[in-house]
Amino acid sequence: MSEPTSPGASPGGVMPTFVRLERTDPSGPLIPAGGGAPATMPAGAPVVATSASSRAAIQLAAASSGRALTIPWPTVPSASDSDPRRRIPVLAIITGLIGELLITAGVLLGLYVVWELVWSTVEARPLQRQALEVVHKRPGYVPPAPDTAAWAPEYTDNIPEVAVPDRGEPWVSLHVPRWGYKYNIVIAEGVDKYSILDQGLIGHYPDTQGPGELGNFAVAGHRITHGEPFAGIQALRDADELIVETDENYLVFAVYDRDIVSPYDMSVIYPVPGQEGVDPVKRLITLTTCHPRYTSTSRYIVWGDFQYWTKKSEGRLKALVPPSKR
Amino acid sequence: MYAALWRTIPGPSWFRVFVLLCLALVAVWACFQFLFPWLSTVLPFNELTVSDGEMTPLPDLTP
Repeated sequence: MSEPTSPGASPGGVMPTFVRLERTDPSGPLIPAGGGAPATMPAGAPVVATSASSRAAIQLAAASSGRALTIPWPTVPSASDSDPRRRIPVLAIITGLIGELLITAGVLLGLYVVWELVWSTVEARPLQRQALEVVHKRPGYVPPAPDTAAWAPEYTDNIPEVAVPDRGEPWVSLHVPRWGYKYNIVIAEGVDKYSILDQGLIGHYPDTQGPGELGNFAVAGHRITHGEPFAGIQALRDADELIVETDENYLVFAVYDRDIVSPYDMSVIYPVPGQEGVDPVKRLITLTTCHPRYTSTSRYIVWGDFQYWTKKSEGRLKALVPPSKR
Repeated sequence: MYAALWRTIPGPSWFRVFVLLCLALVAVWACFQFLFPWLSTVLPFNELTVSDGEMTPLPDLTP
């Protein structure tokens, strides 16, 4: 290897220009990548610079030393090099690792948002259908009357009571024509998040009354994510029907009020909402869900009042048929 | 980290890219299947019930 001369030390203040150099022979001199065809090199000058300024620097240095040149290149890796600047860059490795971990964390958080907002509902849809099948297989379940059946008579007295089952069991279902005439989501007993609400189902608050009982039939459902059964809660208007389908009957409630309350305001599901220890005289349904959308700082509450009930075996429920087909 | 992973995988570049894509898909699947469902039960972002802070666990719903 020929003796190195620093181009930076050359007179005239010419700054060194970086030229990518490589070794064609492990022990040989550095030559610039691409440019230096050995056949065109002048004798005694193993280095050909590819830019005008570096060529000038080399020529100046060569003129002052009268010797053949190689340009030292501090970062060209070399196994034999014992230069202290080529120690293992611990700090660079650590910062690089932290950077990669942060990027990974960012990607994971983005994926979680996708899962929560999109995929949780994709997964919940078949679970909602399965739960509906479970309800339809309950002993005593009467399928709805066919499309050719007459309208069922509407009753307002002798309201049938429905036994509340064990926790976790799906038992009745909710129809809301405002959300589409095909909307039919199962109500299961209990408001456990993972086993009921996150399965896309509506949960019935334990210790509140059954549907049609004197008092308050209070249920909860997701407004976004996990099947979002209450996605359209804010579209509900006064007198919109909330229809509970039990094994044998339809119980029709009409929306009469709504509110936005604190998550800890249990009074909204009292038998008489807002009043503790008062004997109920009405039969209510209460829907609770999160508010505003995408957060859960408040709860959106909708109340419905019992209107009438019909027997599924006696005909079709008019409220469940689009007006154009009545 | 990822550079080391790249060096660990043998074979030509296209094969390494293929293997890394498969690994990424497996990682995303594991997240969607196990990590995120668990995470959603821990994070407080999606509560929707009214409560006084006392909830009793329920048996699993098996439809």
